[in-house]
This record gives sequence, C-alpha cells and structure tokens, in this order.
Amino acid sequence: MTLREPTFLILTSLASGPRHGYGIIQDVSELSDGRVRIRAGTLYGSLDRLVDEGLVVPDREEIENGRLRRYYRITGEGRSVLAAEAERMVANARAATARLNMRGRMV
Amino acid sequence: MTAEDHDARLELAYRRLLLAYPTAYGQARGEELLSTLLAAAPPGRRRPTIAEAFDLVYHGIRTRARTTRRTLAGPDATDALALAAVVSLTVAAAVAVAVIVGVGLLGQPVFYRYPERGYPPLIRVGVGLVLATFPVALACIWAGRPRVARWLAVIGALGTIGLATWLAVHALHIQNTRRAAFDAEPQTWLSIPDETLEPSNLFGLVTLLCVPGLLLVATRSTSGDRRRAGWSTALAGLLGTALVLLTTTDLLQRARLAVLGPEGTSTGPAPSLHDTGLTQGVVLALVAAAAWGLSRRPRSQRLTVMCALLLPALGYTIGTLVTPMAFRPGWSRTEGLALNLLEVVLASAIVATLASRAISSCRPRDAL
Repeated sequence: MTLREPTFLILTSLASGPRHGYGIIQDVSELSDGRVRIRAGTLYGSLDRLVDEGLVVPDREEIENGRLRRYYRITGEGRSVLAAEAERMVANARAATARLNMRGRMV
Repeated sequence: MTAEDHDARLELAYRRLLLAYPTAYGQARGEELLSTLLAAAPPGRRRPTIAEAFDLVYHGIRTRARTTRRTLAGPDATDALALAAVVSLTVAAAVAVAVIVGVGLLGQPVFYRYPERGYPPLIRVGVGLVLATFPVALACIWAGRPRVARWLAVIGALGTIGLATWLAVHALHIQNTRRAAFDAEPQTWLSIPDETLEPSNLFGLVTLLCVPGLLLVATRSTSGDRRRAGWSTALAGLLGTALVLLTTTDLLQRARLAVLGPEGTSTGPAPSLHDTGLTQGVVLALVAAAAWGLSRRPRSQRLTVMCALLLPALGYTIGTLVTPMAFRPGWSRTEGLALNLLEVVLASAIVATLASRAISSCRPRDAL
C-alpha cells in the first residue's frame, strides 16, 4: 500500500499518541517544517478513509470551550503500514543516493 | 465589532460550507469539523479563505460520492440491481411487444418521418424476430431460466443495434437514390418512396432495449463484485439524466448549429429527440432511481414494482400520443389514437402478467 504524503504525515503524527483534528494539523505542519498545511476537509477525508481501512480508530471525546474535540489513535495495523511505508521510502532514498553517487564517480 | 461577532460570522460561514457534506455526515461529524476549522483559523479572521471554501466543498462532494457508492455497493444493492434489471426488461418487453404489433403486424411508420410509406417486408420480419427476444427473455426469468434470459437480452440488444444500423444505411441509400433521380429527371423523383428516418424513435428504442442486457450482465457479476453493480446503476442514472437533459433543452440543436452552421441544418428538419428520447430518458432515470431507492429502503419493493409495471404503459402512451406514429394514411386521427391505446393496453397486459409472475415467484437475487 502506497500512502499519499498527507496520509503518511497524519499516521506519523498519530504514531506518538492520540491527537484531535487541530492537533494533527499543527503537528503535521511542524513535522514537515511548515511545508505541509493540511486543511480540515482534506484531514477528515483522510481520517475517514484511514478509519475505514482500520488503520486509525476514534479514541476519546473532549469538550473544550464548548467545542467538541475527538481524538484519533493509530491501530496496530496502522503502525505496521506506516513502518512498511517508511522502510520503502528509506530504501528508495538510499537507492537514489547510491545511484547519484555512482554517476558522480563515473563522470 | 467585537471578537465574538467575528467568531459568530466565521462560524456561520463554515456551517454554510459544511452543507456540502451529506446531511447524516454533517449531523455526526459537523461539530467536530467545525471545532477544528475554528481552532485552525487565525485570530481576527472574518470569513473562510477561498482555498478553505474549495477544500470543504470538494471534500463534501467527495464524501457524498463515497456514501452513494457505499449504499449502491451495499448488501441490498444486489437485490435492487436484480430488481432494476427485471424492471427494465419489463419496460423493454412492453415496448418490444408494442413495436412488434405496430411495425411488424400493422406496418405503422414508427421509424419513418413521413408516414405515407410502409416498410419493406424484410424489416417487418426482422423487427418481429429481433424484438421477440425481449418478451421471451422475461418469460425465461418467470420460468426460472435466468441464464437463457440474460443471453436473450444481450442478443436482443445487439440485434436492435444491428437493425437500427441497417435501417439507417437503408434510409441513406434511398436518400441518395432520390437525390440522384432529382438531379437527372426532376419529374420522377417523387415516385421513389421517401424513407427518411425518424431518429428519435430509433435512438430511443436502441437505448431502451440495451439497458436490460447491461443490467442483467451486471447483476451476474455482482456476487463477487458489488462495487460494479453500484457503478452500473449510477451509469444508468447518468445516462437517463443526460437523455432527459438533451431532450428537454435545445442542446442537441445548438450543437448541430455550432458544428454545421445554418446551412448544415437547412437540408431537412433537425432530428428531434423530444418525444421518445424524453420517454426513454425518464424510464432510464426511473430505473436507476428505483435501484437507488430500493438499496436504501428495501421494504418498499412492492410499491416500486407496481410503479414499474405502470411505466411501460405510461411511456408508450406518451410516446405514441406525441409522435407522428399515431397518424396513419387512411385513418382519422381519433381512429389512429384509439388503435394506439388498444396496442398499449394489449402490450401492457401481456407484459404485466409475465412480469408480475416473474417478480412474485422469486426473490430477485436468487432468480438472476
């Protein structure tokens, strides 16, 4: 399963513990050095898909300043999918770097 | 203006945008989404940015599409699709019987624009043979032979396409002969029969008679793949809606004008899809709507089936009342209409009997 970047970052954000929607948006922004800003519609679209696929589950609910906040938690399956994706990306990055270096030596 | 006013305005604007989501989704998740949206908005923001608005509307529509797909691919959808297949076969069989009687036996000029001329005998026989597959297919479902029914419906659809192509080529050939005769000897060309086609009836018939085959084949593939069932139903709905749109607006005529210019359209009356096209479009859309409704509320099956049985009569009545096929040489208008109504009643009675047995004797999913 290949994950799109926002989905990958959402899973990464949840890997360290449950977060609510706005928490995920903030965390993803930090994780990507402000490069990726997920909008709410995109976030909940991804979360719905992840919940459908069993990679994420809704956790607890809190009321803060009269507003509903629902926390999401990564599942065991979500962890293994994220780990596999991270491994794949590392392998790809390693291969790319190796080939770039090889070309550098050849020229 | 205070900060609370800003917040209230922003909240209202977000709530409006959230209307893009399905109602049930909005009820279940709206507050949560709203809290995230408001938390993410920088202080002092008064209205959503264009990018935010686009994001919400886009994902709202996508969520709608996803819910629709899920409903159509749900466990009840297979039943609904099977039922829709029977319904569309019922409609097709009714129209087929009516056309067999009209064209094959009475020689009504259903397919020709100028009703003075009859058909070559070959067409009458061909129409009878090809269209007879539909009532026979319906009878096969009744008799518990769905495989045969499926094959017959597909053969009937292909036969109808073949028949339409043959009619079109034949009409073109006649037109060319008439034109050549006119160029050579203007006096004699009138004696050559004018067999200009009435494209609306032909197109309508082809569309209508291809649907049961498609649905029956889709039904077969649904045991392992329900998603395809959903897509087929959605496709039928879209096709029906497109036909209704095409026929109720002047899109086709405008497209013709745009492509051919006024000269291109001056050679004859523009092909009008207004009458039969509209009927077929409505029928298609209703079949899809029935499948959609059934997949949401499977209990209203009986009502839908009853409505479906009325459809062929309704469709054919509209079709015959508004098209020139009601007018026959040597008949008064009243006599023509009376005969058409008789045809409708006869065709509906035959088909309704077949269909009610087919539907009541089995659960659709097991039958197909």
